Amino acid sequence: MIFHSLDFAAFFLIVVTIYWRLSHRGQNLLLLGASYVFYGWIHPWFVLIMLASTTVDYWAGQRMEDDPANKRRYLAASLVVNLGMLGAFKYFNFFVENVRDVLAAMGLTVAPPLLELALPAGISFYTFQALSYTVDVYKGEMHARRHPIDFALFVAFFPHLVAGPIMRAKNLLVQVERPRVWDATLARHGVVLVMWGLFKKLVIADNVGIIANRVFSQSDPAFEVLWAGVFAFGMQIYADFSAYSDIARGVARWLGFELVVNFNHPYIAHSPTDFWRRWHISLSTWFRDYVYIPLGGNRGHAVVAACTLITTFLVSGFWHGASWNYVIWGFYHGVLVWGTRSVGRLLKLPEYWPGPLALVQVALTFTAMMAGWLFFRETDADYLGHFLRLTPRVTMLGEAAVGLHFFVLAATWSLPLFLHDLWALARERGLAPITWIESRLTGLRLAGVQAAGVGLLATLTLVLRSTTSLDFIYFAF
Amino acid sequence: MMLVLVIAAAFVAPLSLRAINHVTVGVPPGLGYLPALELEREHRPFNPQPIDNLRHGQPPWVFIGDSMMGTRIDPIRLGELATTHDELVALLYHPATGPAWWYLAFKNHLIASGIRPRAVFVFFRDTNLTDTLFRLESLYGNALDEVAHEDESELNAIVAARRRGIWSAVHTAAVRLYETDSATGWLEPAIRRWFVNFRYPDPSVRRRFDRELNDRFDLANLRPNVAADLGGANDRADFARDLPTSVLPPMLRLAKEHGQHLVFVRVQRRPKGSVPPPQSPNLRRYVADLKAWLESQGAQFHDDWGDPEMPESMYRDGDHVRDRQRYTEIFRKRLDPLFR
Repeated sequence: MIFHSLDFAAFFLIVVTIYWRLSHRGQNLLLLGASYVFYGWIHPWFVLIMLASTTVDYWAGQRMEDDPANKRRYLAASLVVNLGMLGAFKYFNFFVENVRDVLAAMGLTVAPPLLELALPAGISFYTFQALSYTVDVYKGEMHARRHPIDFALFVAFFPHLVAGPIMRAKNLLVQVERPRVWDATLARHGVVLVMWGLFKKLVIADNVGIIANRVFSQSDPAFEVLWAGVFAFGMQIYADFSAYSDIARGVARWLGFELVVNFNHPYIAHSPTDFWRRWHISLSTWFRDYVYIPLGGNRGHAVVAACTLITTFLVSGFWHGASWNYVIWGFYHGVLVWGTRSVGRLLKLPEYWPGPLALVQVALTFTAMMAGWLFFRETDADYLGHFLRLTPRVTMLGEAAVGLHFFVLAATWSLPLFLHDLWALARERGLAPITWIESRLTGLRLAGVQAAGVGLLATLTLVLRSTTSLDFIYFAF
Repeated sequence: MMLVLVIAAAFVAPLSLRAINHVTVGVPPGLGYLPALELEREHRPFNPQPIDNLRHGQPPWVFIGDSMMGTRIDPIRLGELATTHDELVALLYHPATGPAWWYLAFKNHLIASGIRPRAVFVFFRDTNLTDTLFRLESLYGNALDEVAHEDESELNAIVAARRRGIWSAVHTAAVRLYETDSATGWLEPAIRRWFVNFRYPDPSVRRRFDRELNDRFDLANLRPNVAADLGGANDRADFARDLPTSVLPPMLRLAKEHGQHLVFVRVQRRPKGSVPPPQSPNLRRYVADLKAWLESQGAQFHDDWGDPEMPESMYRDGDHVRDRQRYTEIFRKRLDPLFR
């Protein structure tokens, strides 16, 4: 089920109406059933995959606590099952095809069988979330859970199931176990988040997505056209993915849950490191805590630390998809983070450049992040290689005009995002008028502004929603 | 209370569109011939020229279709092969059209002309014939206007039946209540075109830019896999389920009433080398059902799929054919009795 459908609107209305009439236990049972309906709406067998992961992790957590001498084995079982499922559904064909290509290069022709299986939506998200539980229990950072409904709900909680944010057991399980009370203020903020999310998805992401798709459907776009398309994709993926997170957070608030903030204005980051503190925060922190730090983090020799950092980004890239372009994308970011940190240290540059230079710093980071989206968007190695060799000099007359047209069009659709980001940048830098305005927005005044904003967003969404509705990009991961 | 205020704003604020539309576009242009599908939209006039052409030419062979037919049939070559004249083949052709356009062209141009050709060929891909909503909405409406009259109640009923369901009704009601289509009609182009209008104030220069832009994104410049996927088969198609809400029953009924011999030609999608494109079990079943039904209704079915003389080298991009003359010669040979 997708958020921007009438099916979901009806489903959610029914769930919420019943939900607040039930006891805490009843609420959890309802949410679990609703989550399985939500997840199995198109492919009911997806639920079986999730049940397998849930059962193994539930069992492994308890066994680790009951039989601490063998807890490493139970952790291994959890890792094998979760990563095994991920490997089978997401990476098996990629692995087999690469082995076949290597053998073919050696003159050996083989035709290994490929799996013709649909990738269960959200499998990368909920397996990572479930893994965080078993790893935390293994490390003794939390107790194993004994209530199967609560645990199953922690894995399946529908608002964030398909595309995050990836919630930690320490955070979400506690909310599942705690009785929840209706909070109209939270629900009101939830409406604003949902409306802003729908606007970002249906108006911004889907409209700039059409530009990106047009450019990337061309066999030989000119340099200017290609990079306008990359820019459009950069705006699309931000609007699209952050929209899902916002809607998830808004919906969860109506159920009395608070999900973590997943995006904090990433395009106003002042460095690549800062970008990763703001982009897909729940995944970045997952990799930091469960991959980067266990591998050694920034401890040890500089070369080892650099390798650890780049390896973490490589794995993160591979998490996004079974294709080499994602690995390259991860490598690009790993090198970028390591390189900018090293240069900064070498030249003793301040973390925040002073005065107007701050805007230059943000602009440079923005450009580097945008460039990286080429590796993410282009899954065909031959086209990617060709695109990297494009230069402005070889383009035909008029291509610059076409590129500029697409660039301006993408920027026009993205204007609300830029304004939102600029507001956040001004707030972060403590600009007096912004802090003054925000300090005065309380109580009825805040509700009035929220009502006006929701009304405007609803109107614009109805009028400007794209006629071509694209899937949420991260559904594919 | 404040929660109610915020929720109410989402439903009440869009009502302002009615007043804004009234000031901006005045009286709505009307519902048009497909109220089941779309609401107010400026419609292009019906184009009667093909009727005159058909009456004047009295062609014994008429072809209806989109670029699948346009890139395959060379009317001059076919005329040469059939007789010694070269004006005996008529094409009712428009690129990027679907079954609704083909049905209306058949009804409002061919049947309306009163002529009775020896055969009327309708070209299509895989499941297009029963995919009623294929190329019907949005920009495709402009092409449809040229073959549609003000009242197309039969097509409208078919479309309504295909779109039946509570959500479709809710969507339509919301669009009517808020008049969002009218607002989209003026606001969306204003956003999409502001830079072009600003940069190229001269309309002729603007038209040239638009032409160049379109040229860059025509099929020839698309990646082969993208071009091939355009209008691809719907693997969930079920012939028995889709038939009653398709244009096929009225089309076949009209053919019987007016003594027209319809020949439906399923073109082969892009093969790989000399290997025909794979077909799912569902698609095979669909095609078998389609063929059986068409033949039971007195129509003829011809399938290019698996033709050994149509390898990949014959294709240009996607499912389009590079060599029209060659295809026409093969086509003439395969359907020889119809051209004698």
